[in-house]
Amino acid sequence: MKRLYFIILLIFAKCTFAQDVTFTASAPEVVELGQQFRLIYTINAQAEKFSAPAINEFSVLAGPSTSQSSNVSIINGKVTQNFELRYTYVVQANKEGEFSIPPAEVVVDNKSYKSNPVTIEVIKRSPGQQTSPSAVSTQANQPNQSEVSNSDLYIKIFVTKQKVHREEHLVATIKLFSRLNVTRLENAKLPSLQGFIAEELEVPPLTSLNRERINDQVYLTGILKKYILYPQKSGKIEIEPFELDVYYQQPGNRRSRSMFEDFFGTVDVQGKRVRSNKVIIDVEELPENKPFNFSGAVGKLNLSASVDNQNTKTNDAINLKVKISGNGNLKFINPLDIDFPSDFDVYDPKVSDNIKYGESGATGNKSFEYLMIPRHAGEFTIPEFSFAYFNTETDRYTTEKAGPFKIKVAKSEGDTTVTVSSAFTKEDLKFIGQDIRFIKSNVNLRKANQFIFGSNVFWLSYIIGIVSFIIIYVFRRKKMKENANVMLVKNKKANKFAKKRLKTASGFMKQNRQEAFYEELVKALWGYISDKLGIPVANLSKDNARNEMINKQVEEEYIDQILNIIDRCEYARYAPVTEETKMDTLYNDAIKVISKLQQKLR
Amino acid sequence: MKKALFIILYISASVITNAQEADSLLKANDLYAKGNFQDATVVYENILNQGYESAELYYNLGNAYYKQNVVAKAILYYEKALHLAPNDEDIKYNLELANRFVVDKIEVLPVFFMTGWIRNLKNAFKSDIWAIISITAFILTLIFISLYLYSRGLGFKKLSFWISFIMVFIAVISFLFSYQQKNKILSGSSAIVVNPSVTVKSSPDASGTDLFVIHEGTKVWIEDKISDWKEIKLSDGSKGWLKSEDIETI
Repeated sequence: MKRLYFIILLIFAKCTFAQDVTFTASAPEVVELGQQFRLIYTINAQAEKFSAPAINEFSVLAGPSTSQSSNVSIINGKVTQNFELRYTYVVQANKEGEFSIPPAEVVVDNKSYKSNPVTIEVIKRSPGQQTSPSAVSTQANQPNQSEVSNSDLYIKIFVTKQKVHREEHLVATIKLFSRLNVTRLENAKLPSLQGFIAEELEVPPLTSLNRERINDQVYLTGILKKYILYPQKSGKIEIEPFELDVYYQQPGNRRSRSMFEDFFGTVDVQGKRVRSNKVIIDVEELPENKPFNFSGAVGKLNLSASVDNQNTKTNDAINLKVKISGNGNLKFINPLDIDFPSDFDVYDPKVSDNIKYGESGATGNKSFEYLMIPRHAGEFTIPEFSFAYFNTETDRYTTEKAGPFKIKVAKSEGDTTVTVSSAFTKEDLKFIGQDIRFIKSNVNLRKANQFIFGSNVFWLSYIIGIVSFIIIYVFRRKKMKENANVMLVKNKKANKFAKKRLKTASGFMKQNRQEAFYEELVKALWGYISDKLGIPVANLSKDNARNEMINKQVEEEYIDQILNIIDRCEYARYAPVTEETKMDTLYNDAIKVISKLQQKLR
Repeated sequence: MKKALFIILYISASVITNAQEADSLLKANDLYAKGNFQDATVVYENILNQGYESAELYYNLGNAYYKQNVVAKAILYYEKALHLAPNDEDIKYNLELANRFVVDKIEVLPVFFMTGWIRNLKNAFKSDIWAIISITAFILTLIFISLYLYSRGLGFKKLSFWISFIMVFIAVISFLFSYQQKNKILSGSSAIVVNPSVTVKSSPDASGTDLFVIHEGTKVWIEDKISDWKEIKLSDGSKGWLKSEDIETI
């Protein structure tokens, strides 16, 4: 036990010197004339000399009295130690006005410390005020003192703004004002706050009430609740009254039952249900010209974004961090619409926020972290993306932009094998172990983009072809025409020549020159055939003549006849004359056939 | 006969094998054989930049790219080679092999069997050969028309009539084929995707809706062009827009 004390003492001693020394003065800010109050100097170390301040404007009723307290706590092996030394004055205000008490001074460990100066405002004493004990007797006789006027005890809801845009924050403070000695608060009925999203702010617990000067009177005040409100609809939204049971002490009007009561005064505790005012907030709809990517963010915000690695390899993760910071309805901001390259595997963003709620609304940041994994090599761009919000400072939509980010993805080693194997799955593995064929050594270089098609030579060869064809045609045509003319003449004169020859033949017949007659007759017939059928003399033969006549559709009968006459003539020239080869028969037959042919071969 | 000789002369005149180019060609082939594909590529491309071309040159360059695992470029040059020598077995084989490495598996739309035949027939020869066939057929047509006109024999006349008829047909068809084969090379209507991954948009604008993603080596047909955007069509009929720099025309 002794040892423990020793240790504690050791720690105590050590801590005393290790700690920073703070020396503060505290007193109420507002007091009424004639009111007694305490002026307390607090130091967290053992002080040696306390030199009191010069208190001129107030009369010191008692003090300085010293008191000290210390505590040591050990939590999970962590030692915390507090030491406090107080010098307390009881002071009374004698004059109206604002007075300051200069700093006091102490010496700790051979160093002197000064406290803060204190400023106290002394105001006129209001009638009916009963904070000083001396007033109790004068008040005791007054009637109706159980009824507490609304000005003595009320609750008020303060809002920072009464006219706001939708989603724009406002702070509502519910404050208790009292000139009574409040002892207890109970049965609070909180307003429902319909139409708002409310975020409650922490307020210090109501252990003691503050003093505040309102309309030249001192009120005890305390903040009951504080909310940050985000209106969710437009129009007039009502904040319903706040209700609370307040219990307060009041000097009793009962007759004192004992001498003690006489001495201390009697005190009644009374209760009252207090209702606050109601507040109407005029909420204005956000302007119509919303940007396409506006998703309800309101406030004064900033967008920043960063990519942790802009030169990466395939299948290596990259992080895109998008951060929205500032003041506004941060909590309700959704992930931005970012157009990631389709070849990236992008996972849902990791959302984290760091938001502090305070008088000025929600401040802090909200960040979205996107994990991306590029699957293919190349240069990719995360295009510029934007974040639109309604700026409550300028009452306009503002668009913040970030990006674009260029990301270079290199092929990571082993990536090719992945591609290859995936490619091979397309078809059977028939090409494994095979290679491309070797290069060709026999290369015929030529000027690029030269074609026969469309070249001069190309067109020229067509033209030459056509021209020579035409020339040949024209030439042939001309010749044919000439030929045709000769034949025509011959054709026309065939009969004439034949008749001439036949006449000569008939002359030979009369002279009985057999040989000459037959010769002339054959000539006449051949000549006729040659001229009439257009067969050149060189090609003249019986077969040709027969074919040609068949072509010209001469009846067999006449063909046979004419060829028969020729046969008979030739026969008669070398053989003795028979009935059939008699000159006059042949002559007559020849004339007959020629006249027949003349009709046919016109 | 004279004309055919003339054409042959013309072709042989166009086969200019400059001594310097021949030298560097030998050098490049040597580099390739030694396995120095990168340098071989540079030399081959130099020859191309001089304004020369040939199916074999494109084929060799394609091989050099293939060996460096640059599949998209390999496919591009194989396709170019195939334009000049549409029926070369080696080029077809290597192209098929290179196409194994293309990621995108695109269904090929079935074509009407006649269209397929015509296409095969057309690809049997390059433009120049078709041009010569066309000229030859045309001249034969004229010869047979003359024969028809001036011959005496009835059968011979009939025969030459029909032959000239067929020849006219051949001349017209091969004229068309020659034109189309030439146009195929000059118009650059098909292209190969050279960027590893390309997002095809619905409109010629970066903000257009993403339609699909194609990868390097995929063959596309160019349908339209607006500033630096091109409308492309895949072999399955899908259409979309992409940046000109993403593809290289064959």
